[in-house]
Amino acid sequence: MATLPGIVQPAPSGAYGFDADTVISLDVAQQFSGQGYQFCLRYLSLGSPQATGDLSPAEALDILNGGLALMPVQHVANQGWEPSASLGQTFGSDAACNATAIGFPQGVNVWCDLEGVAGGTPAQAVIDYCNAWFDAVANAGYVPGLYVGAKAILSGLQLYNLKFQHYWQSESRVPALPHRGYQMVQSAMDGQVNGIYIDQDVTQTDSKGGQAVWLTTAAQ
Amino acid sequence: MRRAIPIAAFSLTLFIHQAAGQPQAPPAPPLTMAQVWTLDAVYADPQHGVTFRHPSTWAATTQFAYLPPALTQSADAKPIAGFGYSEGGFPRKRIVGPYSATNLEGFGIVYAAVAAASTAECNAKAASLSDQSQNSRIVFAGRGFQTYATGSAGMSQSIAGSLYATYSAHICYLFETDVAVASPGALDNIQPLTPAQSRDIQARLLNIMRSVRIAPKE
Repeated sequence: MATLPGIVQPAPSGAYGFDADTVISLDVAQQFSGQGYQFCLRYLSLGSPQATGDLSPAEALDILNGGLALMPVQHVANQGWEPSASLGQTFGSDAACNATAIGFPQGVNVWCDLEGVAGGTPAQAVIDYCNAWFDAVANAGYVPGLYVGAKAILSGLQLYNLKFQHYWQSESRVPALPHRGYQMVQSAMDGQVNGIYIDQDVTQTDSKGGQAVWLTTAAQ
Repeated sequence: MRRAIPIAAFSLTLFIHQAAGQPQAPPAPPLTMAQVWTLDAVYADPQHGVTFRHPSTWAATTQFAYLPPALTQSADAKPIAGFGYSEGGFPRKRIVGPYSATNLEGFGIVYAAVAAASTAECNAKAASLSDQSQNSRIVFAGRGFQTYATGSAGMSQSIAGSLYATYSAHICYLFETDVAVASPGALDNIQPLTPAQSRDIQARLLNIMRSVRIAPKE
């Protein structure tokens, strides 16, 4: 499998981008790029290989050639799912395999979506899931990141104490992350942009100087 | 709580949404429940002999929220048509219809017809789009359909649907109805759809399926 072109680099603070669950064509990527968007997040499947409609090598090339930096984020299980170390290892391995199959070079952030956990789940089960997911992705050479959504169970301190060093704040009400803070912040959108549904995201440098890490072919 | 988009952040958003200097039309009045659900339009696919009814207020689209239906994502069973109602995302810029105070993003139906050699192959296509192994059988207008659950989640949103499959004259007919919502708990001051509202939406989507007629060319 071919490696995607471009360089892996930290995202500068204040860059605007979007996440979408719609296939991005070259034309659409160019439209977003022309409007000032700098990056895009597209999906990895929960299973492996990638499911149709999630990010493919051809689409990744279109996004990069359209002038947008790129990072992958994995889908999450349906609301009310039950995390465990075993599941984290499985989903993390799938994410790593899919990222590799698409052609992402090592060093890029691969994001885990943590939200919608079943009520009453012990925090330790979530911690075990997250750290197992982290290990599976890190062992493949990628840099794991954590999207924190609603019903993630964990407190800010528990999130901070995970193995992760890259955090993405969802559009939901989520705990503040002590000592570090978030490196990306998501905002919801009402309506479509360039014919697709998106959430908007902005990068920032966290309190420890950490930044999201993306793949880009453009000089940022 | 979902956050508003920072104003300084998106002058470009304004650029996108305000076509150069054109005055903005006043917002349309919110749709009533009857307008959202009255099945007063008919879709027809003469090539495959399919018709079904849908509300005329729904847009012709195969995606009506952030997360698309499974059929829309499919490579080998791309929808021929779809109709959907979108209540919009969050924060609401305007009141679209009767669900604006809830976490509903949208609902709709998508339809595909693809070549298949047998009922088994048709059901296998449908099963490949489902995330659950179980399926059930239902009859609409005297025709049996296998029913599969579909769904996906991500970015504080989810979509859940029912995929109906039936086979006739070497064609696999696939219909999917879906409801997309913002994840419960993701929103302040916005209530999740109540169980009664959810049941009502499902019943009304089922009414669309009951209007499906298939008269394949033999």
